[in-house]
Amino acid sequence: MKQPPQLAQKILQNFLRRELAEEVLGDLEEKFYSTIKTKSVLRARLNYWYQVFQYLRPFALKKFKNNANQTDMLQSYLKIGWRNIFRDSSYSIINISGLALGMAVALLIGLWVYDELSFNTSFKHHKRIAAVYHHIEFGEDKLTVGDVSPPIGPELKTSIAELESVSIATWPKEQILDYNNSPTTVTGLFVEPAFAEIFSLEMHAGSAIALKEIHSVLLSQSTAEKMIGTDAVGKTVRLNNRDNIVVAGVYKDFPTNSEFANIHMLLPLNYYVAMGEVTAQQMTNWEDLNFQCFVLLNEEASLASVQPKIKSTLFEKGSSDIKAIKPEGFLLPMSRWHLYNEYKNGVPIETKANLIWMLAMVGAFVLLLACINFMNLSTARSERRAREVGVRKVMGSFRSQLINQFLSESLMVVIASFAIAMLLVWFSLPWFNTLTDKQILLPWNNIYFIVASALFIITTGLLAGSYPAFYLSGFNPVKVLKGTFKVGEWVKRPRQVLVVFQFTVSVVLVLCTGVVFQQIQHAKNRPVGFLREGVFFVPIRTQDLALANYNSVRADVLATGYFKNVAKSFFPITGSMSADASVTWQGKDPAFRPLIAMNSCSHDFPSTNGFEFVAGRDFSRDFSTDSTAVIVNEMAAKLLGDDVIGKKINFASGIEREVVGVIKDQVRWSPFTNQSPHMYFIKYEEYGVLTFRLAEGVSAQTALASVKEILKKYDTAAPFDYKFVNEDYDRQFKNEERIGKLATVFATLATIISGIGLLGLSAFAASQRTKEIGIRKVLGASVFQIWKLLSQDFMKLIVLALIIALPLGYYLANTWLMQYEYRTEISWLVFALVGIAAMVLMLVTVSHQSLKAANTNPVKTLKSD
Amino acid sequence: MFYNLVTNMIETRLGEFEEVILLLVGILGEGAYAYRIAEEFKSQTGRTVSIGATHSTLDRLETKGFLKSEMGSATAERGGRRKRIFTITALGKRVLKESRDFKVSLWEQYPAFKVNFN
Repeated sequence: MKQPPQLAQKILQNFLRRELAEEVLGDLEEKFYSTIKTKSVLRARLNYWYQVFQYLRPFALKKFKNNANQTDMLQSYLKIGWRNIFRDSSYSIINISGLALGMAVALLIGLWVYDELSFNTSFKHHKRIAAVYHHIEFGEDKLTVGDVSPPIGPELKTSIAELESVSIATWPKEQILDYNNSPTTVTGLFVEPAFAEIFSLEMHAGSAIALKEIHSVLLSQSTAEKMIGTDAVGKTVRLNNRDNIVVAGVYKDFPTNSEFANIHMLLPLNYYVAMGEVTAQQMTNWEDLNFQCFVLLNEEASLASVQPKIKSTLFEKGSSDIKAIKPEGFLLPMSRWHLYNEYKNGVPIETKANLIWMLAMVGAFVLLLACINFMNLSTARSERRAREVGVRKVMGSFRSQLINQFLSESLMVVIASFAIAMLLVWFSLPWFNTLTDKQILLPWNNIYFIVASALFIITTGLLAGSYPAFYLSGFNPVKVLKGTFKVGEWVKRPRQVLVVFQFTVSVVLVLCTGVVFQQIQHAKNRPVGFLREGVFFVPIRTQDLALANYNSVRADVLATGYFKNVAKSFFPITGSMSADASVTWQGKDPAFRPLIAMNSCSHDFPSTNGFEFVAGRDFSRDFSTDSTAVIVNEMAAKLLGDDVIGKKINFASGIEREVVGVIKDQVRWSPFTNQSPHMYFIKYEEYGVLTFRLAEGVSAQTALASVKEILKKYDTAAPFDYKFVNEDYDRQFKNEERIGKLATVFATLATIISGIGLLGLSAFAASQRTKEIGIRKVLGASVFQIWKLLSQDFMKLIVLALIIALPLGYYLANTWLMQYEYRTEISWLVFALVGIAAMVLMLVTVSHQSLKAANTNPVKTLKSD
Repeated sequence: MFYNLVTNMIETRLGEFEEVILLLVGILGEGAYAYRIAEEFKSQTGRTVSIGATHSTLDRLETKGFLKSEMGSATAERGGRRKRIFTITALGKRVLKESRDFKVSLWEQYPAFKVNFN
């Protein structure tokens, strides 16, 4: 084996200029044999390799290609491509606009999905943050809540070593901040000092240490600047017209796609404790499930190892009332707060996440449709260029040059489409943000976005250009130019499959959109059991107003003559209610603890809100015994058994109450869910809301002005906030209406894109058969016959698409509906309408082309050869 | 200076390594081909140089017109392949001489060595 390494020789010969080969190989071999004499063979061989690589120098390398020629060709490709775009401008417009629309839709959906998936990830420790949740049981129902009682915070902190920090916090609540006699409503939380550490609060000015104090507050930068100015730190503000507190710090606003986006004020929990005896007692009360608890795990801890330690804490510490609901604790990691925080019977339901994936699928499909169109049209048209390929080949074009020509043409079109798509997205983002309630920006400078876009452009361009590039460039020029060449039947088949696929997707999308709207309408038509028109309510947030005498407020309001009635209640008619499982009545099975929704109110609440009675009577001031009266809904009446009116009910507070009336079931929870048993009982609470019902013919403006005037008398500091019941009720449809609007937009675009595709293909089909049509006409075919001839091919495809799409659409729509407890029946009318509409759309599109072909004078088409 | 009177576009400056190679070609005479020159460079200077690097320099010197070359005889240890023999051109000799004269004139202007030189 005393030979120079053969591989090295081969490599050398591969790159070395031919005229140098002899001398160089000779020199290296001489070197090799002389090395062998003094050193090992291995050393000699290694040296040979080294010498070979040393020949990688410009002077010795083969000239692979002439660079000047290449840029010339590139220029030629671009020029020819440019001319081709304009030569057939209608085709180019169809092609580019279709692809641009598809890309724009996919981009928008992509941005939205990215925003949803990156929710809450802006916090530094987001992977280690979790919230304490509990599964609790009420009879048959199992609820999952993030509500805890305050003592669980210190308990977890001391008993579980893996927790780095723990903070108890209240739920978000609107508070009134008054600076220089201009009160503002700000949503805030009462938190412990650890909160700042858990969520790595970024301070703009001042310090988060203030959360250890009592009379201090941290404001978000936006709120501080709006309320006070840039030098907010150290200023004194008045909270709820109760205490003066100092702005001790200003923090950078929480990112818009985070849990605390609307939290603009952080108050020390110490302040909450110091507010009074009641709040101080809450801190040690294991029964008071009115707080939330955040934890930060330390770096080594795993969620799985902490989970079991949290499971029974509340159960063990709680009293018998707590034990009765069998709380089972667990940690919900921050990554699940946004999309995976809903549970049903202790099992996570993934409605929100599913919606995201559904929309992502829709976006992918719309993009796919657009790409299919693009490829279809490109390939269909490229067959007309077979002759061009033939001529080019005869003139001496290489196959590689033809391939480059076609690929660069399709890349040009894709790049143009992408530019238009970016413009479309740019202009539609504000609209899209309003619709989705987000603040999405185009990530121009995000490297992943740029790379993904580039990859996408290249993939689509290459895929769409690959058919003409590789198939057409392989033609035998003699055959093509002689005219004996015919594109095989096999290229037609995939095109038909693609048309069917496109129409199937569009029809399914339109169907689902129809069902979404049907469902929204169905829920809107649901009888709600109270008045929605001409009723508004005002929350009581300040102490002055809370302590004011309700009866004199009421007298003042009624004296204006603008109002039919006014009432006070703990919750507004459109708000949530408290849930209670502790009430008992005679004949109740002690093991049966149904959850009953409660709302305390004044005597006038049912009449102000127009409750509909089915038995018994309304509360009345004429009966002094009514101070312990209860009104129940039908579901609650069913629980209570026979002879509901007059039945005595025992509340946990020890008061015995008597049922005086039964009202129709109301929609107090989401209009899409089953409702629950409700009870309204008389209790004049201090805080809560005032509900006003307008007298007939009074304008809302006059009425609101008078209420504002009256309330000012009782509390000078409170800002005047109000909500109309119908508007507040309609808010509950926001999510579904958003889905409906998005679905409409996407379904419309998908249909347009499919239509564009069909238009292009039918035009192509007609143009391919111009001669045939001419001959048929000469032989006496009527316009109708020719129209039929050209349309029936497409008709077959559409019918096939409908056969696939209708059952598939039904299945998908039904799956979507199953998540709602109160849902509509899917009506076949929608399906029939969509089917007919698809047919009509297709006929109109195709007929335009077929009629044009059928009406052409055959002399013109036949004389061209 | 090192500039030649030839006024075409070819770079005609003589680098240090180029000068040594050019001299070695002159020294080796009939036996001046890339491998031999690389070996001679090593034995004269103690520094190793790859055949490729030598060859590249020879090629450059030829382009500049300081060397010319033709294919020589073949030997057995080269697998019967011929070698390219380089010879100095008149231009090459003149450039070498100019380079030496220039350096000598510099040395003569250096006072510290002036004594030793004479």
